[in-house]
Amino acid sequence: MATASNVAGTNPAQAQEFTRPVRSLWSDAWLRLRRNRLAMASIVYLFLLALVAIFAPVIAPHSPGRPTTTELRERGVYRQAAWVVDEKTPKRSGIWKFPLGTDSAGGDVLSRLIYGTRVSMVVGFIPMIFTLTIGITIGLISGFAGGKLDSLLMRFTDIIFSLPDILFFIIVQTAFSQTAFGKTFNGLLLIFLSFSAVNWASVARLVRGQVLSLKEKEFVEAAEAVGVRRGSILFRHILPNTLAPIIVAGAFIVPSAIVTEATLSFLGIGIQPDTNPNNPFPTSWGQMILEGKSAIDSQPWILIASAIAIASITIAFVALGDGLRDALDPRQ
Amino acid sequence: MAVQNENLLDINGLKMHFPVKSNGLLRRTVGAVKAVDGLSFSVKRGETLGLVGESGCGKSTTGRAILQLHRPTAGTVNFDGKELTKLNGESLRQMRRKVQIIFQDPYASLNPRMTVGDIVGEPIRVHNLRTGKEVRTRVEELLRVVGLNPYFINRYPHEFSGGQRQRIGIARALAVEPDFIVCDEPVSALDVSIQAQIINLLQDLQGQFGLTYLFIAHNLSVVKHISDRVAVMYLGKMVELAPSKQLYANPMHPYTQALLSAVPIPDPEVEKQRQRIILQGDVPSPLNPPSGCHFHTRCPIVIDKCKAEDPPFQDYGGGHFVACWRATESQAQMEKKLQ
Repeated sequence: MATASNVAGTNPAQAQEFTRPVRSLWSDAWLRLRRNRLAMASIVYLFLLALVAIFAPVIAPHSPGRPTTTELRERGVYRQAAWVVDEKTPKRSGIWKFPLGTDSAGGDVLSRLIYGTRVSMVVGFIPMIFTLTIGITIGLISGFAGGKLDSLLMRFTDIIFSLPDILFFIIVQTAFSQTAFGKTFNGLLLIFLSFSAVNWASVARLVRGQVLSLKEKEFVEAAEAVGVRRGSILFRHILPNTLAPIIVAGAFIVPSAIVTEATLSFLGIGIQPDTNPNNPFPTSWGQMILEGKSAIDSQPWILIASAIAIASITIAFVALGDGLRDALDPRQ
Repeated sequence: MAVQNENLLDINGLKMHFPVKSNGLLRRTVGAVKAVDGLSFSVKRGETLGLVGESGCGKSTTGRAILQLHRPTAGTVNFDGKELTKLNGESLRQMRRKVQIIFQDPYASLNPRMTVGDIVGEPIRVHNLRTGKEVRTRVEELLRVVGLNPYFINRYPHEFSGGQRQRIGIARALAVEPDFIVCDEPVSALDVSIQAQIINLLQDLQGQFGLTYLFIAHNLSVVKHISDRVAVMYLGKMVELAPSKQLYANPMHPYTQALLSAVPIPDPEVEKQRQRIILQGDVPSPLNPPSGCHFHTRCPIVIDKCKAEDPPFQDYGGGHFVACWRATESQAQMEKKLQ
């Protein structure tokens, strides 16, 4: 038996150590993240946007869809923002009932902007989940199995990696956007899938690299020596240690997906403007930029407001991603 | 006792070669790193066999090949009557209950995302040694055995010092109640004061649980202290194996003599008198080892025969095995060289 002096923690000087709460690497990371003001501000901002997206029908002052005839009479079309007075056509002068005015179809711009948050939120998160799922699966298999299967999967990944994204999206959209499949969720499903189909490659590479280095670590060897089954080694020892870089990668996929959707909608091949008031995703910010572009002389704030919305959500996600990276891997 | 003399582990002609592949698409095998190149030795039940040698001589690879963490290229590893190299899948997993390893680097050998309770409890769960709440009780017991406070059960490895982590690693190895433990440089990464604690702990545990150790190290003083017998490796081969006292008092292989002459003596008067044998050159590449005796390129007393023929690993009496053509005259010859 070890002598009493050998027993770590019995020394009275160490006694206070016992009252200290247990800190996992995750709780350490959270503490570091909390100290990062920019990242915390981003989290708060994104949380507010998420609330806006969820409660859009409550928050939006008007229906985002096509107005009824009576509503249209009140709203008018091409109405200016509230603070602008149109002296030539007084009917178009801004009123505070429609703070950002109305568009060519009489839609309330502010309400449409609020509903646009929904598209950006789902278009950020759902493709991230798809992308990570595919990337993690391929990366884990490739790195853990090694050999021929690894070479095969990695060559396939290289091919996907070398695809020109935008060109691929344009081809997919033109080919499928008019089919029933392409119209599911106002075209969002097609965007999710095509985005994930090309973006998993970088995640797969990242995960494979992590697995390859972790596989050589002594604690993996120790698990093997103890008789842990291969599946458990993969899921209990390797996967949890790859999560930190995966989370960071995920945080950067979100803004990239949002920008991709905005780009496609701006090009007119993303989601289509919908006037059906029951559609939960009637418009997107990218699509509003497209509308705003043609009205830039008469109603510039349509473009400005939606551009600010896209820029701010993107910056918030990138700041959060940076914060996560610093928090999860303090060495870098 | 008759059982005491029985060999727990018998190793015969163990070879561990790692293929070297060419770059490019075809990845042809262009050679092999002969990390372990024909080892034969045995470990008696309850003893500690020290295994020394410089970096890259194949000590750790030997340990891993015995445990089947690397599957040996050739040779047999007979453990307690079972041939380990032939085991696969489930039977190999069952064998892992009997043979364990303690690693060199206490920072790399514990999963940073698992608590101490999970790390030490995993072997118990994997082999269904305890169930339900008994797992926790057993982990607490093991922590006490290795000199850690059971209160630490919910802590993570990064909250411990190197010595404490090494204790956790030892507790994990003990969790399956093994008969044989490969200690792969268990103290090399620790402070000198902590080294002594860990070595004493290992010796206490050996007495308590009747363990057999293969103790791999490059520190000759540490090995002398803990081992019953000591084996010296050079470039994938064993050059000398003898009872500890015998080896230190009467080294017969020129390489062992050189190694021992490099150990500082903690007495300034004697230390001044110490004569060092300085070997010339570097260790040749295990990719392309020298012909004949692997040591001949650096041996101060080399003769032509050494270059042509590999010396047999032969018993020179009293279990003192040496692989050298000039074993009996080496000491006299080395003395002559030094003058």
